[in-house]
Amino acid sequence: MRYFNLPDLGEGLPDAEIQEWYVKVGDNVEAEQPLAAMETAKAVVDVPSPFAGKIAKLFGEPGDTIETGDPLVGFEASEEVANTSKKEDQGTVVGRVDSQSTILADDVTISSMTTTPSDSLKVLPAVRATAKKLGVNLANVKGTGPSGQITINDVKSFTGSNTSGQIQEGYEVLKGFRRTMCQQMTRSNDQVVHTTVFEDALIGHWAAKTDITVRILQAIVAACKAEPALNSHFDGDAIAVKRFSDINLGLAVDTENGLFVPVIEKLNSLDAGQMRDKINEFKDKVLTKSISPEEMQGATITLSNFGTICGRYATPMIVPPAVAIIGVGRLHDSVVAIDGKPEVRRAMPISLTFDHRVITGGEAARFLKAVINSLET
Amino acid sequence: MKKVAEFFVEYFQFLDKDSKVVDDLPEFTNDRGFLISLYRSMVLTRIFDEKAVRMQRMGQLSTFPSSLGQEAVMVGTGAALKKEDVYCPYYRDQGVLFRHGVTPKELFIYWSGDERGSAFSGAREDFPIAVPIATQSLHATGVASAFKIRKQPRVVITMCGEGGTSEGDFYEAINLAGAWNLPVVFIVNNNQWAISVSREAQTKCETIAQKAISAGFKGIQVDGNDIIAVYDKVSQAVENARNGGGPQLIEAITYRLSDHTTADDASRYCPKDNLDKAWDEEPVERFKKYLEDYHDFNESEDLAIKDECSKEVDQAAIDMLNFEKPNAESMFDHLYENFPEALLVQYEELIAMNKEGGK
Repeated sequence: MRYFNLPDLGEGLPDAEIQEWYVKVGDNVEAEQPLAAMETAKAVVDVPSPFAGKIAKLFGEPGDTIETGDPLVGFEASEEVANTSKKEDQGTVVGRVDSQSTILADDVTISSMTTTPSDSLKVLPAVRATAKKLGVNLANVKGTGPSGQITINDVKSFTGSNTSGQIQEGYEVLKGFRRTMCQQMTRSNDQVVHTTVFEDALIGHWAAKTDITVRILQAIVAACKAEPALNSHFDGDAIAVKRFSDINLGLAVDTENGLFVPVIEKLNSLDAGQMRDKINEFKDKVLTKSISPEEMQGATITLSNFGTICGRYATPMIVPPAVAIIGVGRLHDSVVAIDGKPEVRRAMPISLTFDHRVITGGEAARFLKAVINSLET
Repeated sequence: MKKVAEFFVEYFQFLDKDSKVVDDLPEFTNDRGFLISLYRSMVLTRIFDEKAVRMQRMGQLSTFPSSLGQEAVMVGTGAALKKEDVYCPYYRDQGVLFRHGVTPKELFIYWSGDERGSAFSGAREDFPIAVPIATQSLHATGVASAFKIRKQPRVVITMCGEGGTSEGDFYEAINLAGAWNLPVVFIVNNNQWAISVSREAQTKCETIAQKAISAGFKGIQVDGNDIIAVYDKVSQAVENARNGGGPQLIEAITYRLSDHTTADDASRYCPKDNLDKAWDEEPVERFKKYLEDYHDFNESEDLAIKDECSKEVDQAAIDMLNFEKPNAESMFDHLYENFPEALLVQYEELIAMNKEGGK
């Protein structure tokens, strides 16, 4: 058979979809007679025959995707070409564009404000759009295209079965929030320079039934006033910082279904009662799974109150673009030196992680001091 | 308040869309042979474009920008060039290049991805095709400056689309051309579309021609679907520049009847009504009807021209397909006068690899 392989119909397109065949097996076609309408990421185009001959095989049905360089049509071989090696293309003379480095470098620059791991992959915009539509993380897709490029088919087959042959026996692919956590934490670990400082607040003098969480929130408001640098966003690619006058506090809530971080907007404008109402509202929403994604966006600083479970100190991870997270550990009785003598006092362990690319050690320490002062008042 | 300067922009048309003569025809329209040669060049350009698009779909060309509907702009411009003049092309002006001695085979070779197609055998000093937008405007100003320094009576023409005139390169080029009074003519192929950006979205200027005023020289509009207007006005601008009169800008108003390139689908953004209207005004049929009405041009002459052009283009395609592929080591050619040691090692490695069958 004599093969006509699908040429690159655009400029570096990885594939095209058969929309309609104009010919069938057994037809005799003339040179330049249209064979098929092919749909690429950019256009629907008629593909003419590069030579005259009898059609022996059509490599696909309408709706099928043919990769650039793969056989599209087979012709019955005339005698003089019958001995050429199989599947050697005899129509296309222009090589396909194997590397897209120039275009993709641009693509990465444009998207630098929202860089995720998959943005640094070599992927055509159409493939990226498909992945976004299907909710596929390109970092997990193995490319089968030229130079390992990810094709649209790779993305589609990945959604077909998440296990795509790459998963070892006994493993289960992460989905939903766990998958998001994996991506966010990987990104955080790659980008942020995490540094953590620890201190205990002595709260033995607090009245019974003091609303602990509200006190912590009030302490954060006071600390943000004392040291506003920690209530910021940082764009590491642009090396640019954005300061906020309002505090949008991300409140980490642990549930059976995973960790949720609803955002209390303008925390600084709420009194103690309003803070408590907001906390209760979000806890209900999280437990009844009625919280919306919008209500979990835009945190300028975060509180993780893990101590309600266990653990005194931690090195909590920042979710960019935020630059700080406060961890509150388990309240406990602690032996402390008061006026040179050991005494037992109620202690609240505080861990403050800051992004040392943006925040100085002094700023972080002053912030922590303001938290402690507020709690110990 | 007192008025310190005042400007206006002229528009020229000899043939209206129904091929009726609407202004006093220039002298050259008495030369039937010349008019037929212009028509032949327009037909050749259209047949070349149609063939090139099919070849791209068959994988024989890597990409291709058709000039469908803009043949009068191209051929009228190309015909105004003298042999000794220099043309700095963009990517859609095959019709200009054909008139200046470039062959269909050379352009097929170029668009197949082989730079050797840029070695124009019949127009040795014309520049290679500039795909980056409006860079050729600066090349043209540079060449015109060289002519002025050498005191040669030669002229440069360059062309870009109306979208190209939004580029800094374009403004820099026209500014210097004006400041130094250089022998260069800027043609703007205003085909209404910069890929998918419409003329209306491109600029707030009423005309593209008025951009010349900011550089201190004359800018005019011509009906770009009227080959007589294009040739007449470009010729005048070229001769004016040759005689030391400095630069000029000519905005040729036309319509892109094709996709931007073979990697585009204009039906996604170009309103069909606009396209239908533009087909009624297209330049090849307009000129043909004028020739029939005023110069006894007949169907058999037309068929002969089309047949001849088709054969020429088909032969050029065959010649391109049979053009011997370059050696891998040719990528090292034309880079250095004295080959550096480091590259010499790579060069020898490549030769050795080729001997082992490219492993």
